[in-house]
Amino acid sequence: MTRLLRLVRITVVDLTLAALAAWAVWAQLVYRAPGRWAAVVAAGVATVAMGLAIALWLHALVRGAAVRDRRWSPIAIGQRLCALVILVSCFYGVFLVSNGTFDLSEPSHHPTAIVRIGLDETELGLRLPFVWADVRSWRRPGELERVLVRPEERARLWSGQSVVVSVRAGFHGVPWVARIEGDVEKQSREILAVAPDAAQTRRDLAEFYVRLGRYSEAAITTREYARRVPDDRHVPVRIARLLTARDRFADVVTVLEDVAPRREDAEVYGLLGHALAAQGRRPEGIALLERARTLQPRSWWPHYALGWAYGGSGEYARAVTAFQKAVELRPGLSDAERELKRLRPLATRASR
Amino acid sequence: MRARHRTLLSLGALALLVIVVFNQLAGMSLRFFGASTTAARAFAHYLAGDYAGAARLYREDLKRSVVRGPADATPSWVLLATGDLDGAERRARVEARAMPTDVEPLLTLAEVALARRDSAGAVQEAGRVLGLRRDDADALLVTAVAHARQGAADAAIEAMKRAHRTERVERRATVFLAVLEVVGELDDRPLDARPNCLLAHLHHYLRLSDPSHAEPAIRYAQRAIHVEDRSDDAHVVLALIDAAQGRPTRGFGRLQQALTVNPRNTAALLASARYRASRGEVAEEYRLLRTAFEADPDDPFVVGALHRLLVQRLGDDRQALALAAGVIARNPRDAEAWGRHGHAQARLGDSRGALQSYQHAAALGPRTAELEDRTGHVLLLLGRDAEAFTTYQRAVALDPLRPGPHHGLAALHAKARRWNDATREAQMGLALGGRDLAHVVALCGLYVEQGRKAEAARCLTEALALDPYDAHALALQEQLRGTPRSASATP
Repeated sequence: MTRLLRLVRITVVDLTLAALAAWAVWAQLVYRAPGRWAAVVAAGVATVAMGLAIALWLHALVRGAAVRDRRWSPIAIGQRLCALVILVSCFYGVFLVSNGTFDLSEPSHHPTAIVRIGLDETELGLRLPFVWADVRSWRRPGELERVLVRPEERARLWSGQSVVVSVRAGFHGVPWVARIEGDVEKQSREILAVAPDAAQTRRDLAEFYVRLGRYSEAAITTREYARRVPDDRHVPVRIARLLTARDRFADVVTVLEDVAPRREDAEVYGLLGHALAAQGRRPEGIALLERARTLQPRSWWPHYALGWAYGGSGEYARAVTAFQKAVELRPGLSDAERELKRLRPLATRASR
Repeated sequence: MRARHRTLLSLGALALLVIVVFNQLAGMSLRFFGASTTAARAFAHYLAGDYAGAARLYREDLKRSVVRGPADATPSWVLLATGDLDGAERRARVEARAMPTDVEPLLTLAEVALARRDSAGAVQEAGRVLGLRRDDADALLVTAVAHARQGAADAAIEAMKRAHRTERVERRATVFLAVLEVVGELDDRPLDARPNCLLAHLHHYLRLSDPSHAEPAIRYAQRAIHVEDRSDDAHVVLALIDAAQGRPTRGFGRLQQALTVNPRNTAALLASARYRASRGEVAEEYRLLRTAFEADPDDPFVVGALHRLLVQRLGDDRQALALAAGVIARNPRDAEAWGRHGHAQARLGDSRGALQSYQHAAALGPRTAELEDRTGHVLLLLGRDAEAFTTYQRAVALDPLRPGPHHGLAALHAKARRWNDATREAQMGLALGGRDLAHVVALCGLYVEQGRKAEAARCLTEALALDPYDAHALALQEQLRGTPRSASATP
C-alpha cells in the first residue's frame, strides 16, 4: 500500500511538473518577447526540463517505488533542480501571459525580413517542438532580433522572406510580438506589376492595409480595384463600411465617389452621403442620403445619417424627424436617442 | 558487466529492432500482406528484392481472391485478374461497344496486350484511355511499362512524370503488379545496361506503397546524374523524395539544380511552383507556371494549373480568358480549353458567352460533373430554370458528392417557393463541404422564410462569424428580430 501511494505521489508530482513546463513553453510561444538570446534559451530550458521531468518519472517507475534515493544523490539533486527550473519558467510564463492578456495597446507594424530560421529543417526530417526566426531588428538597425515561431506560422515563414512583425507595447511594458506575417504589400505589388488585372490580389492588399490601419492606402487601392472591376460593388462597399466604422470619411469618399454614379444603390448612397456630410459637404451628402431614403424607406441607416446631417446644418426639425424614424425602425440606437433629447428643444425654439 | 546490465542492454536492442521493423512495415501498403501462403511467399520474394518473382506470386494470389473481390469491378478486369486473357479481351470489346466513353474496358485491353508482351498494342490501347481521361494514372503506368519493355526509356519516363504529377496511385492491383514486375526485370539487368533515370522514377512510384523504395530511387537518381542520363529529371526525383521525407527546402534546392540543367523542365517548374505556393509566394508561383506554360503551351495539365492560379488566387479573369482563347486558337477541338473559356466568361459576367463555351466543351469531350455544374449556374443566371434544373440533376448523377449542384438546385427550388426541397438541397450542399458564405446565408434565408427561428438564428450566427459585415446576413438578422427588413447594413 505504501509503495502504491509513493508511486501515485511520484506520478502526480512528475507529470504535474511536465505539464507546467509544457504550459510555460506554450506561454513563451504565444506571448513571445523578442530578444537576442533570452527568449530562445528560456524556451529551450523549459523544454529540456519537461523532458527531464518525464525521464525522472520513467526512471522512478523502472526502479520501483520501494527504492528511495539518498538525499544528495545525483538523481535527487536533478529532481530538485528540474522542479526549480520549471517553477521559474512558470513564473516567467505567468509574467508573459499577463503582459499580453491585459495589454490594450494597438499593435505597431514593422516591415522587415527574416534572415534565417533556426532548427527549421533537420537532416533526419524530424520536426522539433519549436523553431525561431532571426529577423532584422526594427529597433536597432544592423542588428538581429530572435523571435520564437509558433507552429501554425512555421509553414508560412522562411529564410529571406519579407515580413511584417506586429509588436504590442505589453501590459508590464515588455514589448511582445503578436504576429509575424508575409509582407502582403510587397508581394502584391510584385504580382500587380506583372498582372495588373489581378483583382483578388488588389482586394487582399486593400484588406491588408485596413488591418494595418493604413486607411488612406486602403482607400486608394479599393478605388483602383473598383475602376478595374466596375461590376463588383461588394468590395468597395465592404471597405467603405470598415472605414465608416473608423470615422475615416475622407477615405470613404475616395472609395465611393466613382462607384456612386454607376448605378442606383441605396447602400452606396447612404455611406457616401454620410461621409460627404461629415466632411462638411452637407448639400451633396443630404442629396445622396435623401435618394437612399427614397430607395429604402424601411432601412434605418439613411434616416439616422440624415439626422446627423440635418442636425449639423442647423435644420433641427428635419433632424428630429429623421432620428425619430431611425429609432422607430431600429430601437436601441442610444446615440440617436441622445441626439433627440438634445435637438427637440432646439427644434421647438426654432419653430417659434 | 553485470548480468542485469547485460539483460537491460539486450532488451533495449531488441526494442530498437522491433521499432525499426515496425516503422518499416507500418509505412507499407496493405496490398503486400495477404492471408494465403502464396501471398506470404510473394512477400518473402519482395523482401528479398525479387520483384518480378513477387509480382508473379501476387498475381497467383489475386487469381484466387478476385472471385470474392469488389462487387463494382468490371467483369472484363475480373477475367483478366483470373488469367483468362482471351475471355478478358472478348468481354472488354463488348463493354467498350456498349459504353464507348467508359475507360475501364479500354484499360483492360491495354493490360491484356501488356500481359501478352504486345507493348505496341498496350501503348495504343492506353492511348485511347488517355484520350478519354487525360491523366489516368493506370493508363500512364501501363504506357510506361510498355515503353520500358520496348527499351524506350525516354518515352517511359515521360509517362511516369505525368503519372507522378497528379500524385494519385493506380486503382487496379494488376497495374501495380505490372510496374513491380518491370522494376524486377530492369533491376536484374547488368549495372551498365540499366536505365538509371527510369528506374529512379519507377522506384519513386513504388515508394508511395512502400517508403523503403526511396533508397533505391535515390541511388538510381544519383547514378543517372553521374552518367548524365536525363539528369534534370533525376534531380526532380531526388527533390520529390526530399519533400516527402520532410526536407522541402533541400528538395527545392535540387529543383533549382534541375532547372540549371534544363530551364524548360516542366516537372521541375511545376514542383517549384507547388513549393512556392506552399509558402504563399504567389508572384513566384505565377512566374514559374507562366514559364512552364511557355515551355509547353500544349500541355493541358500546365494550362489547367495556370488557369486555376489566375482565377482562384489572382482573380485575373481577363488573363484567364486570353489564355483559354489562345489555347482554343491553336486547337479548336480542345474541350477542356472551352470549359476554361466558359469559366472565365462566366466570372466576367458574360453568361451567354459562357453558356456557348460550355456547350462547345460538352460537344467535344466527356460530360463531367464540373462542366454540368457550371452550365447549370449560367443557365440559372440566364433565367432558364427548367434547363438549369435538368443540368444540375445530371451533375448530381455524375458526382453525388459535389456540393455545387445541390446549392444550384436549392436556389431553383427556392425560386419556385418549394421551401422544404430547397432547404433539403441547401443542407445537403453544406454537408458535402460547400460552405461558402453565400451558401450559408442562402440557407439562413430559407429558415427565415419558413419561420424556423431557432435554426435561422444559429445559421446567422455562423454566417456572421464568417463575415460580420455581410449585408444580406445582417438584413436577415433584422428581419428575424422582428424589425422590418433592411437591405442596408450597419456601418
